[in-house]
Amino acid sequence: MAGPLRSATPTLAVALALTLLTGAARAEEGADDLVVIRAGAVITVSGEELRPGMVVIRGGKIEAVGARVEIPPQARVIEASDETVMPGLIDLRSRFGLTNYGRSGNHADLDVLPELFFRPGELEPLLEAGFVAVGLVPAGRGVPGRATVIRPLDGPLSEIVVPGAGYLRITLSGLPSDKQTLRAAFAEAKQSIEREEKARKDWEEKQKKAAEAKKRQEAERKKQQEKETEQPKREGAFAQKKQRGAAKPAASEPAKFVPPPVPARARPFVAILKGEEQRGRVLLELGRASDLVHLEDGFGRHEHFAPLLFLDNDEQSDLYLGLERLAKAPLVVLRPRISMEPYTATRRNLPAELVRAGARIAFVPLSDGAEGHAELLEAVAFLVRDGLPRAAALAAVTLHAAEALGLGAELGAIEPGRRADLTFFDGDPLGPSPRVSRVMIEGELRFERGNP
Amino acid sequence: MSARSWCLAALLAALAAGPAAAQVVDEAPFDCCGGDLEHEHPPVEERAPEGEEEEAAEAEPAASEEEPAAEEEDDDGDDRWLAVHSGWVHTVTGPVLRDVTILARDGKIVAIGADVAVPAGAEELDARRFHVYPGLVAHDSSGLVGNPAEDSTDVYGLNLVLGLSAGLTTVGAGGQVVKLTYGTLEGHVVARRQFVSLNWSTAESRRKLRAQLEQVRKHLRAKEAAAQAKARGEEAEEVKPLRGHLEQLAKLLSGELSAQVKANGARELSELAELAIQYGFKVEVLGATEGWTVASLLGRARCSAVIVPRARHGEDPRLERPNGWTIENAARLHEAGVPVTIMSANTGIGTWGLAGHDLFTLSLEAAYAMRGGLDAEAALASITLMPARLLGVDHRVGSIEVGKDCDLVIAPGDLLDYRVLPEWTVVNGRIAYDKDKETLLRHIRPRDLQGENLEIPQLWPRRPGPEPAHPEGS
Repeated sequence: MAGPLRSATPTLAVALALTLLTGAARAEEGADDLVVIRAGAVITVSGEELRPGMVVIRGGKIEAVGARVEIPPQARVIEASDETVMPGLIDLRSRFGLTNYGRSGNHADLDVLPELFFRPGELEPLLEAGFVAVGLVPAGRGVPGRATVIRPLDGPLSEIVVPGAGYLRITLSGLPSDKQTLRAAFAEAKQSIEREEKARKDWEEKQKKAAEAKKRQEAERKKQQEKETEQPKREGAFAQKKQRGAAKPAASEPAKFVPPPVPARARPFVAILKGEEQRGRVLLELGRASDLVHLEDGFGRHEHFAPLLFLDNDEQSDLYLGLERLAKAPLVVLRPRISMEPYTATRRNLPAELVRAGARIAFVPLSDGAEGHAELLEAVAFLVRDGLPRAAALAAVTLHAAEALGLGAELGAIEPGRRADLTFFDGDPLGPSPRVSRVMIEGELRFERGNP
Repeated sequence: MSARSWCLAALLAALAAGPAAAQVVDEAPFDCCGGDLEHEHPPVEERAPEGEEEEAAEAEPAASEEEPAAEEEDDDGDDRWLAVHSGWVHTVTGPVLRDVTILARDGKIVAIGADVAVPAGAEELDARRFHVYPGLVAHDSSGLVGNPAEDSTDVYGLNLVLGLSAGLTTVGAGGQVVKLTYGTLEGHVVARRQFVSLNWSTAESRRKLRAQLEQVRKHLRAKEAAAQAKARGEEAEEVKPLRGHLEQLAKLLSGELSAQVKANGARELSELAELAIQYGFKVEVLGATEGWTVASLLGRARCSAVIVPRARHGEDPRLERPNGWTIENAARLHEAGVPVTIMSANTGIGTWGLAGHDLFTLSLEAAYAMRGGLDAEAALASITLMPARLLGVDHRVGSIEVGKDCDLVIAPGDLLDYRVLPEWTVVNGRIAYDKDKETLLRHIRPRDLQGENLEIPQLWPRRPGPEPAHPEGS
C-alpha cells in the first residue's frame, strides 16, 4: 500500500516545483515584460499609418509607437518586417457558436452568459480570423437582454468574458409588438423614477418635520429645564419620563434615504432616462428606413436616449432613405455590403454614403459563423474599392466597434496606454486576399500561422 | 410684420379685387361645373369648413380688421410653407378656379387666390399648366398602411407609394382613417372610426336584427320614460344598460353611429331602406349592385351607397322586374339623391394591379361611372368628398378649401381621363410623391421640366391648328 504512495510523492513534488518555477518566470516577465514589434507597417487607426513602424509593449499594454523607436535593452523583439500590424479586429454583434434560442418581450435584466459554453478550440476560428473581442448578443425580438463581450481564448468563462463591457440589445422591426414592448419599457422606467422622486420628497418632508419636532422638543426641554430649576424636584421625574417618550420616534427615523425597489428589467431603462452613459448604452436594431421614422416620430424621443443603431442592410434595402437621420446617430453599425434599391437595379454603397454624410460607422461580419469572420476584411475591401474611405473602413472594424462595446479607451487603436491586442497580416489588410499571420492579446502571441 | 400676416394682407387684397383677381375657368374639362355656379362663388375661398372654428377664428380677424398685422400666439417663426401655383383648381365644394395659388402653412391651406403673397422660404411648386384636385380618399383599403398604423406602417413602402402615385392621400383601413404620409408619421392617423356593422345577408340574420332593433327601441323608450318620470319627480324603475352589440345598436338608433351593411339585391336593399326609415338610422350600403332599381327608396331612406361601378352581376331573365348590373348604377343613385362613394373591387394595391380592379385605378372606377351617365362633378366627389364624409373626416379632407388640410393631386389633365397619371401628390403640405423622381411611372409620358411639351399626345382625331390646345385630355 505504501509503494504507490511513495512513488507518487516525488512526481507531485516535481510537478509543484515546475509550476512554481514557471509561475515565477511569468511573474518575472510580467514585471518588465518588454516586447518590441518591428513591423513593415503599423496601422494605428487613431493616427497615421507608419511604414515601417515599431510598437513597444510593456506588461500587456502599449507603451510607445513610432516609425523608429529606441529598443530598450532586455526587450524581446518580434521581427515582423514583412507584416502589417493593426489593432485586433472586433466583432461587436454576433451569435457565434450559439443556438437559435430567442426570447421576445422585455428582458433587459438578462444577458447571454447562461448560453455560453465553449468546447476547447471552438473559438479558435475567431482568433485565426484576427479577432480579439466579440460581442455576443441574446437572440430574439423586443428587448432580449444585454450583450456580453468575450475574448476568443480557451479557458474558463471568468477568463474569457470581459467584465463591464457590452450593451443592451433592442430590436425595432416593422412589427407593432416591438414598439409596444419598448414603449412599455420606457413607461415602466418613467414610473419607477417618479415613484423614487415621490418617495424622496416624502422622506425629505418627514426629515424636515422630524427636525422641526426635535427643535420644538429641544425648546420645550430647555423651557422645562428652566422651570425645573425654578420648581421643586417632585415634578421633575414626570417631566423626564414625558421627554423620553416624545424623543423616541425621532430617533427611529432612518438616517439615509432608501429608494423604493426598481424592477430589475426596468433598471437599464431608468439608466437611459437618467443619462447614465455606461449603463444606458443601447444597440437598437432596425430593418428598414421606416423603422427609423417610427423611432423618431413615434416614441423614441427621450432626452438622453441616443442609441447606437444596427442596420440590417440586406441585399435589397431602402435604408439609404434615412441617410440624414442616420448621420445624426452616435454610431451606425451595419454589414459591409452593397445593396440594391428595392425593386430596382440601382446599387447603393450605404457605408460609403453614410461616411460621406458625416456618420461614424462600424462593421459586423456578413454572417455570424466562422466563414463570415474570415471574410470580413475582404468584404470591407470591396467597399473601399467602391468609394468607402480607407481610414473609416479600418476604424469601422476596430476603434468604432470597441467604442460600441464600451471599450473605446482600451481597444481599437495602437496608442500608448491601450491594451496590446494586435493582429498581424502578411500584407495589406484591405488588399486582395488579406491573411492573418499572428494575433496578440494583451502582449502575448495567441496565434501564429505555421509555414504553409 | 410676420410672414403669416403678410400673406393674409395679400389675401385681403385679393378679396377686394374680386372676380378680376382670380379668374374662374370658362371651359372646364367635361364641363365640370355648371355655368351658373362658376360666377356665383367668390373666386377666393374664404369660408372655413365645418368643425374648423379654430382656423376660421385665425383667418377672420385679419380679413375683417383693416390691420393685417394681427399677430398670432403660435407664430413660432419656423412654419412650413408650401405654395402651389396652379392652373386649374378643382375645389369639389366650389367652382374650378383658374390660375390661382394655394398657400399652405404647416399642412393647412391658409389662402387660395390669384395674388397670394408667398412668404420667403416657402417651398413653391409650379403647376401652372396642371390641374389640381383634392387628394383622393379610399373608403376602405388593405395593405397600404399598418394596423395600428402609427406602429407598423412602412412609410417608404411600395404600396404606400403606389397609392400616392394613384392620387390617394387618405384611406380608411379597418377602424382607422390614415393619410399616406411618405417618409413621416406626422399627421399619419387622422381619426379612429366607429360604425355598426349589420348582418343583412340571410333571412335568419335579418329576422334576428329586426328582433334586436325592436328590443333596443323598447329599451330606449323605457329609458326615456324613466328620465321623464324622474324629471317630474316621480319614482321610476332603473333601466338596465345594454351590453355588447345591443349597446352598439342603441347608439345607432340614437344617431351616434351609422350602420354599415353589405347588400346588393333589390329586395335586400328595399327592405333595408324600409328598416332604416322605420327606425330612423343612417345606413352606408356596401355593394348596392341593384341599387338603381330601388334608387328613390334608398334616397328617401337617407342611405349612402359605396359602389364598385365595374362590379358585374348578371341579369336573371326569370325575374319580372329590372335586375342585375348596369353601368348606370352610380348615375341613377346620384339622381335619386343617394350620396355615392366609389370604390374599387379590390381594396388592396400592387404593381400587379396596374390595369386591374384595385385602388391603383380608383380614378378609373369613377370615370367608368361617368361613362354610365354620372356627371363629372359627382364623379370627382365620389372619390373625394363623399368617402371623406362617410369616414367622418370631411372637415379635414375631400375638397380644396381654406382651413382644410393641404392634400392635393396635381395632374397634367383631367384626373378621370385614362391617360392621366398624377405628377405630384401633396399630403399635409408636403410633396409626398413626384412622378419624375419615382422610378415607377416616370417613363410613361415623362414630364418635360422645361414646360415645353406637357400636353397629352392626341392620338385620334388629331387636333387641327398649329398650336396644341391646353392639356385637358379631351
